[in-house]
Amino acid sequence: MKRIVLLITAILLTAGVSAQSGKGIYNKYSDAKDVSAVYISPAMLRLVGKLPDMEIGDGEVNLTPIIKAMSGFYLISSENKSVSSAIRDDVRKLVKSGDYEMMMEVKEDGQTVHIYTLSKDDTITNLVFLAYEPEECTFICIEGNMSKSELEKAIASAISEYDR
Amino acid sequence: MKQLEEVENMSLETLETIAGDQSVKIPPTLDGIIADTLTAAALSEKGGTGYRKRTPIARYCIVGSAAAAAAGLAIILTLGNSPRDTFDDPAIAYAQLEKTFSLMSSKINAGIEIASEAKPVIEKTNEAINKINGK
Repeated sequence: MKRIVLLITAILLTAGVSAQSGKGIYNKYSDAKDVSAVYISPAMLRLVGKLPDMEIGDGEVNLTPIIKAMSGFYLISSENKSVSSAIRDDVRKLVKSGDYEMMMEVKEDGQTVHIYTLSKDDTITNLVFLAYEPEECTFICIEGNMSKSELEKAIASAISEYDR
Repeated sequence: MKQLEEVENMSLETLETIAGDQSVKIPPTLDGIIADTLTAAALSEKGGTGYRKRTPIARYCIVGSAAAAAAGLAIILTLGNSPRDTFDDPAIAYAQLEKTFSLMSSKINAGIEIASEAKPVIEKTNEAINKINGK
């Protein structure tokens, strides 16, 4: 009997931990009031990956390798103060629960941006982006097996295109 | 049919009268039911909890069944909450990803700009430290 109870507890704990993920946050807030939510499934990402190179700004940046390596895309955006605050707290819990590494923190005009990555060797398995202001917030979570160098290259290209 | 409370409240004489009444038919299985009830009561007193002792195979079967049920529950919890795709058209999904990467790159760019603003200050500080050190 003890074994059964332990087993069930372990399974439930695993389920609880899985709730602390991009998907968990998405599921929690996607139907909330004043929230915009976008989810792109792995199947859709595979279809998107077959499309020609993406364009960022006026120039072309090849994001196809990154999209092909993505297995999930979650976006939650809210302009509701209490929801924004709750999302921020949940994202903090999420990054604390895993071995997330802060890639960047930008504070500008009352907005704070945090970018976290979860890596395994030269592969980024999770990228979490949180742009937070007291009145609004945007949470993005990208899951997959993205090459660090490919991602850095794409971001660098995007920045140079943005500068033009 | 009389209720149990009514029977309990009856006097012995009345009970004797009823028992002697030959017109009342006794169910043929009554003896067996009484015997079974008494045996079960005796066993539960003797065995304490009354649970049967399970064989190791039965125990493994129960643990295995519980594991399977728990695993099933975990799968249902995980897969059951799978969100639905927001877009049906890959081109729109593509546009959303484009917008997202633009947003992310603009924020990263803002960070780089702030860092580059601090660059001259860092260089001046370095120069001052180097002068002090006589380099």
